[in-house]
Amino acid sequence: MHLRPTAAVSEASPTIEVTALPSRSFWGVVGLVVLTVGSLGLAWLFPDNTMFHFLWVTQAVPLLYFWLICWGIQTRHPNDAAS
Amino acid sequence: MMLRLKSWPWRLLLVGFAGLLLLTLLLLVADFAGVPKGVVNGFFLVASIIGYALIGMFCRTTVPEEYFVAGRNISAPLNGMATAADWLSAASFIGLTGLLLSDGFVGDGQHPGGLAYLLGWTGGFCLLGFLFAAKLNLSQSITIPDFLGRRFDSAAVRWLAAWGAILCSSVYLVAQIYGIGLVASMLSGLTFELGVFLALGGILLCSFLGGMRAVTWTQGVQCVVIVVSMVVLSMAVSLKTQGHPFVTVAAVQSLPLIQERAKQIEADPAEQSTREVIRLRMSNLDTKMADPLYAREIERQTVVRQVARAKADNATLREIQKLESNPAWRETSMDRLISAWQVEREVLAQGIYRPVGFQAPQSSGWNQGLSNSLALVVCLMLGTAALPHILVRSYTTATPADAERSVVWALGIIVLVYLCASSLAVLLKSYVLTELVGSHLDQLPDWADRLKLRKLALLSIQDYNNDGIVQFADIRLFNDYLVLGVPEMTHISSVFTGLLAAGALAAALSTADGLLLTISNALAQDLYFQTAAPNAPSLRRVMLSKILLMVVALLAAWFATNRPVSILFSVTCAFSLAAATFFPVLLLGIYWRGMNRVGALLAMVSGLALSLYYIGANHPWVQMRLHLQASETLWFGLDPVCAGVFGVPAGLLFGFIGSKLSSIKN
Repeated sequence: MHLRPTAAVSEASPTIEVTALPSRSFWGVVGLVVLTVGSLGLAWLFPDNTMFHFLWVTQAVPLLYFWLICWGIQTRHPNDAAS
Repeated sequence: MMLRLKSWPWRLLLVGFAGLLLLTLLLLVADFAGVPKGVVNGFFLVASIIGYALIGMFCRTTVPEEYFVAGRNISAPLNGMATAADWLSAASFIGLTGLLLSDGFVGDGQHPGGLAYLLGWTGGFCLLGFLFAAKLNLSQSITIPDFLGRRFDSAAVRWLAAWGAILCSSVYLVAQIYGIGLVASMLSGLTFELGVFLALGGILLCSFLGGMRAVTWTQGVQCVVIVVSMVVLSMAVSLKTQGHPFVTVAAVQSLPLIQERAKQIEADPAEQSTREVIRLRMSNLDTKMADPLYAREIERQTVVRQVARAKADNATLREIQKLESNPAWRETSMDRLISAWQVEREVLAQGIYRPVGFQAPQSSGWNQGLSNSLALVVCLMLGTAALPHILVRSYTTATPADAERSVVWALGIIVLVYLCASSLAVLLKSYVLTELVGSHLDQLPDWADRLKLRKLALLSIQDYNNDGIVQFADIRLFNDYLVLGVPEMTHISSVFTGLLAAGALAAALSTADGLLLTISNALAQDLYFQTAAPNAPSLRRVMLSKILLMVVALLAAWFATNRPVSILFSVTCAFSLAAATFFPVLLLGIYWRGMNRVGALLAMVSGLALSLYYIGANHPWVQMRLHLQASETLWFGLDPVCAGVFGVPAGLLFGFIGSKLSSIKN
């Protein structure tokens, strides 16, 4: 798809390819959903286990998100599509 | 290596870090030498604002590419730092610790707890990196409405997106300006209004002169201030409480004690009697609100009798004023009286529903709190990935890969701050449960007196059962800015108050900078020049953006100083609105070839309208005017801030249907 340039800044005419979601991104989003819902589900399943809430959900899960995005954006290729 | 590091951002980071540590050490020495606390704290305020303004002056520019997108050559680490500072707002930096401390991890069975905020705010960056960052960078646009307008080749889409961006960013901006006013007035001792305008001067000097270029550099430095203040403060508190600087370990060590103490408090008969009194008061308020005219009359007669008796007994003026502060006496408008009663009821409800430890008493099965938590996580994640002032940071890097890497940097920094914030909440909880609960009202811990009596009160205590002892339900903590009182609670040097406030100020200022640029650019680029002067010269575009930036800043400051703002509520609403307005159209627009302008318009209108309706219909003021009950207007019992959970599916559905139908017609 060809896009009109913005008069103010860009003189070039960049294009945006409407592509499928790269497979790493797709699996990254799946991982994000599973990790989040799973962690919250476990927290609700064991509502009295404060130590678990603290260590897993407030400390480990944000670090896992960080790991997930590091993994998800690595070595992308144009034809690396989910479908 | 995935994160290629160039040397100069590291130098910037290290110089900023070392400079801040040196400044903190110097002020620690000054504090020990007896320099007044006001001077030490004021130094942080003045030094911060002057520093940010100086960066703005050095980076001043009228080159459009520099002003709007920082020349598109910012490195991934610096862009990540700027994104993190842009994102870490007054609510998320100041508010998260207080929220975890007050509402616990899994909530009270009705409302979401702190875990929902923590996961939603961090997980959203994964979505941003996976779905949007690289694609936006490829487009070489300057604003999100510009991107959407070009993607769908439609001025109407751009126009609508511009108004959506202005609305979301304005709601967010007012909360930030309010936060800035609180911090600045606390640090300087000035009034709230003067604090707002003082800090606003710093923002304007930065973003007005240098646009995105100056804002990027300022946000880089602000990021250092935010991280250092949170990490150093956490380490200091950890050292004070457990004798070592490892804050997570200290929190783990404190948790068993907190749980044991929480069980004792929950079983305490005095605590139970306090809760009974609170329930009775709530019931009385419900009765009053059911027949407010009659209740007001009765209350007024009671106040008249009490005041007459007090005067006869030669009571002090303060005691008489306290009697006359009864809303039934003070408020002439029935709406305002009912509103005052509603607020009183909410405060009472917090007293009994808030968990003593970090979890509410066990409730079996699915409950409202769980639905609200899940809905809030969805709104915050999608909102983070769709906030216009965060998305525009994808334009400022040179390549799509750099845009993605900068998201990784931003998430890393935010995670570091949040790991400290959640550990800090645990350590502070131990102070509240072990030192404050159970103490005699005449012999409160010194920090409690100070937090109660300061100009910006962080704590209030009401002895509901009149036993002279503080019960947990008697305590009201002001979550939004409680963390500013940490140095007093933990008896660490007052220099940390200044450092923490400098971090809070940096968080609020950096977000306000980004929001102001987003709003003014939407007004100038996407609304005015797009329609009225499409061939205007570049210099005129930059100048109009600058003028609009100043106007918007002043308007937001005026709004923030004229009415109290719940920072967390406003910010969460902004996330919901951004998610509903932009997430569906961006997702479908980037990844589905069939999406067209009709679908884009329908996606934005339906998402935004539905979310606005849900937030508006459940606002106490609207409910009071239209005589509605929350049970009639809440869908599935979800809080109004979760409006995005309805808006996003509506946007996706209408975007799909609109595109399909219009393509069939064509």
